[in-house]
Formats: sequence, C-alpha cells, structure tokens
Amino acid sequence: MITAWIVISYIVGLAAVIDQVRRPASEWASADRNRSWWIGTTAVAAFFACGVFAALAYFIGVLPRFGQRDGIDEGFREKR
Amino acid sequence: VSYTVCTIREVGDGPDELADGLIYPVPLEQADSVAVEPRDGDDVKSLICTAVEIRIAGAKKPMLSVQKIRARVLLTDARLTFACSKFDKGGGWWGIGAGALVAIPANVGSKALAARRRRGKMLVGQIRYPWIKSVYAQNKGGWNAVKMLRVLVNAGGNQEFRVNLTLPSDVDATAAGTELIRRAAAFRLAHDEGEFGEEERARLTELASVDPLVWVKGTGQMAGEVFPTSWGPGEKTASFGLHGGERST
Repeated sequence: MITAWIVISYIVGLAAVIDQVRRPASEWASADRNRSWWIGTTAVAAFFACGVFAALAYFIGVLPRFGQRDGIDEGFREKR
Repeated sequence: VSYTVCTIREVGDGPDELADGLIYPVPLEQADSVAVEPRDGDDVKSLICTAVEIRIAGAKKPMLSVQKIRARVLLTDARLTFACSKFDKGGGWWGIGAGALVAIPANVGSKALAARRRRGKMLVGQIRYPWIKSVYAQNKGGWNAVKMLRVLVNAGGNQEFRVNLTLPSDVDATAAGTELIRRAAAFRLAHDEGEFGEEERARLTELASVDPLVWVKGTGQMAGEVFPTSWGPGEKTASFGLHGGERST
C-alpha cells in the first residue's frame, strides 16, 4: 500500500513538473505565479512522496489561471 | 511638478480633468489597466513585465525596485505605460520542520495585510516619448535568462532616470525596444514645433524606421539607440500632441 502510494506520488508529481516546465515564462507571468517556486516545490514534494498534494495544489491553484489571454502582443514573442 | 517615473494612485473610473494623466497615468478599476487618451492611437501594443527598477543614473541604490510582479506594459503612439495592481504581495516567510508551522500562518497574515494595504490602489508609471534619452534591450537566454528593456529618461537638469523593465524569458526584448524607438521617434517628428535642426530631424527620421535591434551575446552590452534630443518631464512637455485642449478619456 505504501509502495503504491509512493509510486503514484512520483508519477503524479513528475507529470505536474513536466507540465510546469513546458509552459512558457509569459504564461506564468500572466498567471502571476512563480514558476521556479512551483517547479521546485512540486519536485521536492514528489521526492518525499507528497507529489499528489503538490500536484493537487497546482491543478487547483495555478492551472485554471493559464487559460486566460496573457496580453502579450504576438510581435514581441521570441521566435524559436 | 515632481516626476519619479511611477507612483501609487487610487483607482477610479477615469481622469477627472485633462491634467490628471499628464505626468502619471490614471489607473482604472480593472486590474493592471490605465486610461488611454486619444494621443495613444488605436495601435496600442501590450506586454507583461515581471520586475521594475528605477534609479537615478549613477546612484548605488534604486529609488524603486519591485520584483516578482505582473505589470501590464503598454506601448502607445505617445508613451510607454506600466501598471501593476498587485504591487505589494507580502509573504516571504519560510521555515523547515517546526519553522514551517510558524512560516505558514505568518505568510497568510502577511499576504492578507498586503492585500489590505494595496486595496483600491495601483502602481502606475509612464514615460512620455519626449522625455526619452535612449532605449536599450538585452535578450540574455538560457537558465538564467534576463530579458530586459532599459529606458534612460531625462529627469530634468543634468540628471536621468534609468528604468529597467524585466520581461518574461520568452519575450523578445529587442523587438519591444525597436518598437519603442520607432514610436518615440515618430511621435517627436509628428509633433515638431519647429525646434529641430536638420541633423536632429534626420536622426529622428532614421530612428522612426530603425532596423530591429540586435543584441549580441557575450559583448556585455545592451543593444540600443540614443535620441538626439529629449525634454525634462513637466506639464508642457507632457502636452506635446494634445493640440490645444484635447481631452483625455
């Protein structure tokens, strides 16, 4: 049971971290959330088998804010 | 008139009179927004900055430094504005183990007090184009990316303000810098009251269609352009282009 919880915590935490990393900085700025803090906290929480809680906080507290328009003119976006 | 680039103002429905938005922009009820005026034109470009630092050029300490914020920056036909509703965030307490038990309520309390302090207020600032001395940008990438737009502003006398706007790492600061230079030069040319010499006019014409700024990695310098003339902030210089009593909205 404990092993299952740890594995699930790792998987969910890792999924949240991957989602956080792939979002551009302007989306985070627009959402008014600190990218480094969330990535660090989720990664550390996942390592200590609390990834589910951190991911939950991320999905509830941050993810909905990403949907809004970030208000950055397309001409100012870095071309990759 | 004392001008320090930005200030904290009460939010409202819009400017009550013409002079309201001349030196500092007028904040609106909507988060991070300011009232636009007819001079701003229809093609207003917007971006976000995550930190603002203002210092008298040469001074060791900044007059103002706000980090980890979300401020809306507008580039209009007449000025650059920025506005931040959540300029005072509170928090910053941390701890491990038992310390966390103190840090969590301390953060909650601190954030609640900050929210109370900033209620009905907004940090707003503007740089009208006649006041700009030079514009610079850098696009430092990588893990420690610093995308920055720097504007040197005539502060009157021999002084100048150095305004640094830090942009999100996926924003092209040189594109924003180029746009700012072009608009500022175009504004000055459009509102020339016969005070430019041939050389100044030629330089402004060049700047109005300047090639995109190119920041070169490893040089340790920002890319930018210097304007041939600038004016100190004041009601007169803030009124260029108002055409005798056009009203702000």
